[in-house]
Amino acid sequence: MAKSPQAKNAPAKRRTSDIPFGHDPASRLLPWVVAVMVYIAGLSIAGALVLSAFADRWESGLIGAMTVQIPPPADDAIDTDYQDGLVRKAVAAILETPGVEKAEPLATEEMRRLLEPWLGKSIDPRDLPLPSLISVEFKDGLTAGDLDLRDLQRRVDAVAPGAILDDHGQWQARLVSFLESLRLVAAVLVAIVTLAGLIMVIFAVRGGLLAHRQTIELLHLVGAVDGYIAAQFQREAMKAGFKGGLLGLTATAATVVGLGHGAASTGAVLPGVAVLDPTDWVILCLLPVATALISVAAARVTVLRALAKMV
Amino acid sequence: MPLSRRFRALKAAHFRAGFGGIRCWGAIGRNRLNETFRVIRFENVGMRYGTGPEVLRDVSFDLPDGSFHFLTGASGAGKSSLLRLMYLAQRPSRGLISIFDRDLSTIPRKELPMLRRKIGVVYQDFRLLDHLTTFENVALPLKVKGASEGVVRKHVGELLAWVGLNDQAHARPATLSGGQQQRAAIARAVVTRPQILLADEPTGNVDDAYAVRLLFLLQELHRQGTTVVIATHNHALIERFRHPVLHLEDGILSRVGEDPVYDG
Ligand SMILES: Nc1ncnc2c1ncn2[C@@H]1O[C@H](COP(=O)(O)OP(=O)(O)OP(=O)(O)O)[C@@H](O)[C@H]1O
Ligand SMILES: [Mg+2]
Repeated sequence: MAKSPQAKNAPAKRRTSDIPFGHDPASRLLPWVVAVMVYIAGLSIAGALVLSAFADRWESGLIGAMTVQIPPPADDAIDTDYQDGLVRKAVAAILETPGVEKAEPLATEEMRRLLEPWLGKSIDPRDLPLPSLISVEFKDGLTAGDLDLRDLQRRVDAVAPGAILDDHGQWQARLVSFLESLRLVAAVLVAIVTLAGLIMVIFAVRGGLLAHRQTIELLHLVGAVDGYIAAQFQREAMKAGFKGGLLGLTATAATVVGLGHGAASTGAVLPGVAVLDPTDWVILCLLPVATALISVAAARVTVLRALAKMV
Repeated sequence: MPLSRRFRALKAAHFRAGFGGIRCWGAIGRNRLNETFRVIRFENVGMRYGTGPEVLRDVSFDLPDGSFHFLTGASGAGKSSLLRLMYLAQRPSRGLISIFDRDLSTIPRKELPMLRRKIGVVYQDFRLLDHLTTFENVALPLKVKGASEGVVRKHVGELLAWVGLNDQAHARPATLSGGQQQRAAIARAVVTRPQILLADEPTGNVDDAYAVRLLFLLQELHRQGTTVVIATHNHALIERFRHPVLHLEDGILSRVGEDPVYDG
């Protein structure tokens, strides 16, 4: 509706706005409110990005290996030698599988160490009907998905029927779903903060409409279309949104960098936590642009709807 | 000094000061003036503010193209309210208003700005924007309709010269005298060469001599084809300029001087 007069308006658009913004408290406060919102949203997003990087790293750390379980004999008679024979044959079979670098039975000593807290020192784990475990490592860069697991299963079954391949999939799936829910929390937080910011912008614009009612009526009476008046509110909202966005981003960046230093000082315990990739920083830097755009849209809709009710 | 001589002296001063014409308007194409064309028509119009009583009742009149009318009436009679209807700041609560032959009740809201751009208004309280300079205030109607900067500079400069405010172009309204503000308001009202000029008590707070001078300014616009309505209490002016009078009494309109004298 405002198209043609707006487009031709460029030269006269300069310096001063027709509406004296900056005199009403709501519009002065807006950038700070936006900054707080952006800070919360920025930290949530940064957290989500760090979690993704974390999950990726863990995944790649785990994925180069798997475990094969050789079940104990079904009857009570435990024949250790027979069991050891099965394990040896299984190891040989596994090693023949393409993509496998290493296959080693978990030593009794190690098994004992793992079970000791539960069983006490006096019991030999080999006296218990425990499965024997074979730790399998893949060739460089390969993951369980790259191997023909069915072929491996067939080979192992041929020598030790009932063997179970465990590629940590279940454990991993749990970790992934946990991280996923953390990310969902971050997303919900961002959504809530966006909504709250939107409401703040709308209220600030409504306050402005009320504060500048007289000026707006005059603009209408000298022939301004609604879009012309809305454009002035949009420009103001854009300034507030961008300014608030920059402030919030600065605070977010300071916090993330600070946390990064903190994580680095713990040494290897939290490797890489709170360190964002360049792409992650680009995403964070888009926040002021996003807040500016959201503010503009909110201002436009609010003003046009309010003006439509005027004479 | 007798009044008539004072007027003559003022008129001479007025022309000496270079207020003789608005050059940029040139030979404006309003010589196809059609006095049978009714620029404004009211039929049985009633108006109330909110749920209050009717402040205008059964108002019917029409104004031919290029006419000049005074609007009189006691304070509170409804002059400003009638003008508000004419400059489309208010909708009537009943009756029919047509402006430029268009029925207001059927005009979609988004077409109102185009109509308003053809109506210049001098408000009773001027309504200049405090944070803008005189120049920017006068430029507002042009800016709002998207005029180029060149056009704005030319027309506004010309008009500021016409009303004698060149030196105050960059002053804020608050630093202007009452009369200067009034002239700025007049300049803003006519900067778009409106077809209708409505002035609400433009002589309300200036002395008689000054009032006459303002009337000369408005009369000049009328001579160039603008339809003019001036609300005023000033009977000396009405006597002097002898234009037909619309008289309001308690919200009811009567016409005085039905046989209009268009003394250009
Ligand atoms: N905004 C408003 N809300 C409610 N009532 C109003 C409003 N403006 C004017 N009125 C009422 O309408 C009636 C006419 O007022 P109006 O201002 O039109 O009179 P006027 O003839 O212009 O008076 P004056 O010569 O003092 O300017 C008055 O009774 C006034 O109280
Ligand atoms: Mg009045």
